[in-house]
Amino acid sequence: MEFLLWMALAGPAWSTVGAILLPRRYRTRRADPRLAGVAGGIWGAVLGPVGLVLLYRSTPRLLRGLHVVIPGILLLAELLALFALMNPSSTCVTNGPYLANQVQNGLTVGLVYATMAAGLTLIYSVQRIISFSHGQFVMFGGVTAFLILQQVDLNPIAVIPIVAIGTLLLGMLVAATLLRPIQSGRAERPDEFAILMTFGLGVFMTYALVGVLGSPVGVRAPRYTDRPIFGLDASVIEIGAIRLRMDVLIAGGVGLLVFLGLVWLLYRTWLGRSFRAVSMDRQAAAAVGIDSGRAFVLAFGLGCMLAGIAGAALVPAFNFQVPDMAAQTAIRSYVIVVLGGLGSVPGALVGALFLGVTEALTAACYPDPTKGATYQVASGLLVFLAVLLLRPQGFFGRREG
Amino acid sequence: MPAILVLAALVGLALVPAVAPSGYQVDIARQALYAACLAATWSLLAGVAGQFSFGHVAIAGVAAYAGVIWGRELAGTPFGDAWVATVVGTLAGLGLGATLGLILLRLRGSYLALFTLAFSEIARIVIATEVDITGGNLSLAVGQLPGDRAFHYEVMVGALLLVLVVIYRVMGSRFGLFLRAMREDADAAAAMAVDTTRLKVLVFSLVSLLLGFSASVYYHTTPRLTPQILDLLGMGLIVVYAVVGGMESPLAGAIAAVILVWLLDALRVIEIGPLYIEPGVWRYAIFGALLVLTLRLAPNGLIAPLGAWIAARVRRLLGTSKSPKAPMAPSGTGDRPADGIAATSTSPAAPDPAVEGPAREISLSVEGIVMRFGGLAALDGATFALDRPQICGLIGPNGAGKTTLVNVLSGQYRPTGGAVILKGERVDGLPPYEMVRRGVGRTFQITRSFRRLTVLENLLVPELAINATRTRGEAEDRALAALEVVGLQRLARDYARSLSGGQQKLLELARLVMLDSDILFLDEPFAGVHPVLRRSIGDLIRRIRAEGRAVVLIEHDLGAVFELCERLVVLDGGVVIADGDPATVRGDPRVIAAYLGQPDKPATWAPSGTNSTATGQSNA
Repeated sequence: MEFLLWMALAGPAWSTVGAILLPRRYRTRRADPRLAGVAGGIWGAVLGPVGLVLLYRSTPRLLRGLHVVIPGILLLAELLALFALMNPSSTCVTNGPYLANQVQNGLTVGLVYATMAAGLTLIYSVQRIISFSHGQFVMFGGVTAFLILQQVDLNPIAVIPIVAIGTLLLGMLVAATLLRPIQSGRAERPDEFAILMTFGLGVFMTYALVGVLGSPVGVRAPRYTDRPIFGLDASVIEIGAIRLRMDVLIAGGVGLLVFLGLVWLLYRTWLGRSFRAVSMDRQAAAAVGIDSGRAFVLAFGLGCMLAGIAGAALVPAFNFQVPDMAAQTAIRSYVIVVLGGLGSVPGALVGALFLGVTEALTAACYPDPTKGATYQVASGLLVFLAVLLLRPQGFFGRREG
Repeated sequence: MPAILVLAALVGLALVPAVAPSGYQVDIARQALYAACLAATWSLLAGVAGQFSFGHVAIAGVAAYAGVIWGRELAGTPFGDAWVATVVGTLAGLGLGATLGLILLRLRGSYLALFTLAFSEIARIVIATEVDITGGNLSLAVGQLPGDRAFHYEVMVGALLLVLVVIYRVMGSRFGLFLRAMREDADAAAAMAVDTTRLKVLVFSLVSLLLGFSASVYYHTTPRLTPQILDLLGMGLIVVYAVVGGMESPLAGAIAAVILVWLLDALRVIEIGPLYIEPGVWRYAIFGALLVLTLRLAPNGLIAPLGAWIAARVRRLLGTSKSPKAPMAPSGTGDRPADGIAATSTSPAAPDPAVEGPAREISLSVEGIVMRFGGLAALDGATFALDRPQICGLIGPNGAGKTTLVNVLSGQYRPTGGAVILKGERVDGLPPYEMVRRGVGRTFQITRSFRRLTVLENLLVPELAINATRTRGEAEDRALAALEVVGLQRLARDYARSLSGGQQKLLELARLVMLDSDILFLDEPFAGVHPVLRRSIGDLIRRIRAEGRAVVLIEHDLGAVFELCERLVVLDGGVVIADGDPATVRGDPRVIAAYLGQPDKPATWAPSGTNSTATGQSNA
């Protein structure tokens, strides 16, 4: 145990030493230095000087990804063990079912995150731009659903299609008017134009929504479980020690269905094929008769629609803090798409589940429980940082030539 | 003339406390000055350097908190003085900016914006949550700077002035030139010896230093700090100011900030006759719409073009023609070769002993380079060496891996396998600017000039990047001389984007000449170039070789290749299939096969005829 503590203190230092020293060694030996930096960093963190000596001695043989993956897993295990040793009384360590519940909760919420992140990734894959108003579209979807439910006594699920159509049309309108210079190639620097334009749109949408609601508020919409579902009138289902919150479960179910629908659209329909064609090669797509401008307008609309659906699905399960949640939701989507690889739809699902669990565990396990909930979003940034430093193309992305 | 205007503006600004109707107005004016600092620095970072960061307000907020907390913890000691705390806040901004710059090195464009947006939200959450240190939402009392409201205002005027002076000094320096080059094309800037890595860290550090300074000064004149100063709304407003001003002009951004902050306050209550409206948060929605509409309808902003128009009017009124183009000879050269070229082309072919430069060590060896993109191996063990001055043609059918090889050798790509040894040192994987500094230069197949820099500035970038001690004047002389060689001297003050395709090629060649490389890779210098211009380019290449350098020519025009080259390297399927003098290579059956297809494999070029392809494959 002492050893582990010592390692935790010295780990970063040895990691730095390894990351600097090893590539030099490989370079002077005229060996391939590409993996040396990362491997040196991780081995140094896991085994300290021992790991570095091992690597140093086996110099030209460091080639395969496994040399990085195995110590990476070791490092994770070591960190978890350290956490348990430092916080022996934490519920996370003592109470297994509690932990399982957190993971379960994170996975379910992750399904909804996957939907909105898939929207972002869809927009990116067709036009190579990132929407900085994505969080606002999620908020817009949620608040619109809330406002409708306030006026009309409807099942919250029935509102989702209405919101979907609304956000689809709004997104298409935005793409066709505001983002037009990008499609027509008249924007001098399309990337930056898109960043600023969508960011400005986000500011507008945020404060227009706050204006409609009157002031910054926590929005609490009617819950899915306010009315019986299939004759079942319980907000919590217990299976052994696992407690499933029905509201979250339904939101997750909606998320999963929509995600599967998107996959079907992309891989089984001509519209999806045209999107994928444009995303691979715009000119080649144009040559076979695909109107890339129309594809972009549709893709942007669909992306916004997915965000809107995520908002409408989440609002009967969680309270929305308007306007703070817009930025936080947006950040979640960014972390997910970068994690999974920008432009990869399956990556969005994996990234979302990963983030959902990470966030749930942070909220549950942060040593100071009063701060755990607020640091939920911050945990995503750490994941983000690690991915950007180690594998900028994400889990499923390809490095672009 | 502009000096008088600036002076008048300053006097006007300084007089605000004397003429303002109430103390509240002075507070708003001080706030406007702070917003001007933020807008101007953001303009430098995003508009001039092209780094779209949304972490601006967060960096300022963290720096302010650092200074105020320092002042509170050390209150009573000499170190706890508000002025000292201001310095500490400034340094905190610098430290944070440098750290962010290092982390953000690998990120470009949208990735950078994503990360900084996430950073700023996390910074706000941490400050709001760590109540013990920051006071959280209950706010933190500030140990204010001494003096009254009017004095605080004047301090802020001084701060803005300082920030603007620093920004414009930087923009006028070589550092500013490199920043603009990096904005236009980071890869091309790196290929022109600009250390883009360091530049990025430097610009983040500099901007954060200025941010830390203005935030520390401003927030030490306010009574309390709350986490709201890190709100994304603040960031949104700064972007609005900078865009409405005109992204590339920090001064215009500052002016827009002052006007719009005043407007934001004036719109608190709208009273026109019986009409009484309190727009509240709708003002922010309106500002968001203003940003969107400005971008869509006037992408250059509103203030900067207005300023340019006024300046032009004033100049005309005074009758002084300061337009830089005026003394230039009438242009209109088009694609025709200019006088400079004609002069050089009178002494063709034979190497001119007069221009033989100092002996250069040419030693580049490429050993089994492999470059994979996913499953595709663009290079599959290419091997060759350069060991003396020469013009070497690198040819091969489309997709043979020629451009990929150049990208590897110039540091654009890090190869998947193999080694590049330059003068006894292993160099594969080094960044482009390091390759250039070791004497390997290149042009791009599709020309990549810095489009919104003038032709002259395009040449100053490599010249100043490679010679740290060269003064601007000397560099300009050398650049003009190089322009004369390629015949572009008349266009020196024009933007590079106004050049024709052929002229862009010449510009790239001239840029490469400035680097004084030992080994030059020219990627299709003749493609799409007027026949007369082709001869001048050919002469230029001979001249470069005569100076004792090695030129590697990637070209599809075999006529030009056979005319110029002493040696040919043929690449096919990512490997070198022939290497030697042109006559031998020309007769090599493998080369003929690569170009024309094998005699027993006649239909490889036939359009997707299933039968013939099948035959071809079975024979292979």
